[in-house]
Amino acid sequence: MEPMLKVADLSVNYGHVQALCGVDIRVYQGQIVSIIGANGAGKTTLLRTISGLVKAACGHVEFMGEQLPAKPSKIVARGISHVPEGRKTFSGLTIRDNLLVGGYLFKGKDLEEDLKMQYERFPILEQRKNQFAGTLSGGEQQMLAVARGLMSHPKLLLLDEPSMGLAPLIVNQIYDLIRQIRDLGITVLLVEQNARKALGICDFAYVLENGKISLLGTGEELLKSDAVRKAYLGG
Amino acid sequence: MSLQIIINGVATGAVYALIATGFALIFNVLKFSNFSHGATMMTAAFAAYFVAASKGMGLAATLAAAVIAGALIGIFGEFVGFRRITLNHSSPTYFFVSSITLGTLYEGLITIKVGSNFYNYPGFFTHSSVKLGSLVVSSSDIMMLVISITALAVLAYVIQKTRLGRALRAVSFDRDTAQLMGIDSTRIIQLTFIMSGILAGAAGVFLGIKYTLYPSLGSLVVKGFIASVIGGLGSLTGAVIGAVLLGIVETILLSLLGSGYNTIATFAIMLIFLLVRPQGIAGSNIQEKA
Repeated sequence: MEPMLKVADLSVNYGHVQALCGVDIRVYQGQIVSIIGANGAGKTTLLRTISGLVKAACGHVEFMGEQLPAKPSKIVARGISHVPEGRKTFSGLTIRDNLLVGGYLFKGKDLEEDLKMQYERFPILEQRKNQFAGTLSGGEQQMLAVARGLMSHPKLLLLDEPSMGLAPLIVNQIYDLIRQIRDLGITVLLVEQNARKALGICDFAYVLENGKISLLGTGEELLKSDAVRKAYLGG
Repeated sequence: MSLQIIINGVATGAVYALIATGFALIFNVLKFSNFSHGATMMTAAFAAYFVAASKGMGLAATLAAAVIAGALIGIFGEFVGFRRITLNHSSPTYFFVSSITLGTLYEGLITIKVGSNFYNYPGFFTHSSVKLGSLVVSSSDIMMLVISITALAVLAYVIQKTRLGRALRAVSFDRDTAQLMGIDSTRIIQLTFIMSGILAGAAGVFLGIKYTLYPSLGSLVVKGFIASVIGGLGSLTGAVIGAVLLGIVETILLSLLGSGYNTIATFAIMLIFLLVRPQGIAGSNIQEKA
């Protein structure tokens, strides 16, 4: 089977600093694939390159058998939605407007239907729909960011550190949500520092170290691997 | 007397509001003060003079010409002066230099064309003033008030209620994240410059009618700037409130102090605001939560 997303020999430079170096990743339809790694390993850069915010120095990204367009706004239209690190909700827009912006590519009745669907999935967002997003708690903002990301009808959802800064109970809720999203038929590429959580949920995982893939395997294999245990799971 | 002054003040304030919102739109999206806005107003006003007014076409044609000219100047300025530095996430200094350069360029070109002469729009009204009971209001003030309020209402509707307005607000909060929603930020920024240019064109004609046309007419942008500061930089509602307040205060001071001290007084008001409440009247709304 052909992978849904094929990242091949991808390198990215920021000035003279090499952020990614020859990265190869495959994501198959219906899977949750995790990428773990320390701060500064290049995880966010990888997602930002896939979604078009960062330009690659070399290598390429193929999605459903086709090269991706250059503009981020065109990439979203192809079916890749990126929920960025630190939620990045539009703090001065209402929750409703945040969701509507997420569905920017859709109009009229379809958009209203999508909005209703997200309100059903996240009742808290409906209760607070006219509040500014900046007034939500961290966990609620993460839910809003995910809901906003779903508004564009993605086939592939890129999640950047959804557990960052959240209490363990909330993290569990977010991970339940990720499973639900997979069960909707949406493929998930998950980037995390929380290695135990990310490896526990995924079908396949990569370890990114200094801009290179150092290890890969199923979640279970990596959870058992000595290298991963020492470096990312605290021994 | 007092109601008369307030009416005159509001009419002046409405023109300032057009200047201030055109200015605030760009500040909102790109977070820099567009110092070419004044020269854009002036250039659009002169373009309308030569294309329409001096050929005997009426007010509507003159305004249309100015609005189109303002939009075209906006497109030109955005593409030549700001697009590359926007895409490169350059520091605000580049925007500052670029906008001042563009402004100087526009002013220089118009000066070459017209010299330092003063031009007057032909009288657009058969009756220069209208009597409402004991009040005398100039026809041009009524026209400016009506058109300004309409333009501001349309702008408010577009920004608050439409898909484009939501995209514009999203881009002004976070350009990169807006792109992840499928919004073409470059296109939205271009549209913002067009809207700002349209407002500049209308404001330019109004200033030309109120005063005269001359190459440094654009320096009146400072009124819009003061209004923006009083209202809170980047806040459109604040800009309108600040502009109307400034218009009223100016008219009152003009009748009390005469025109010399009046100008000084408005600057003093801005300085007091910067000292006491630098975020302006509406400032608390636009401060981002960390």
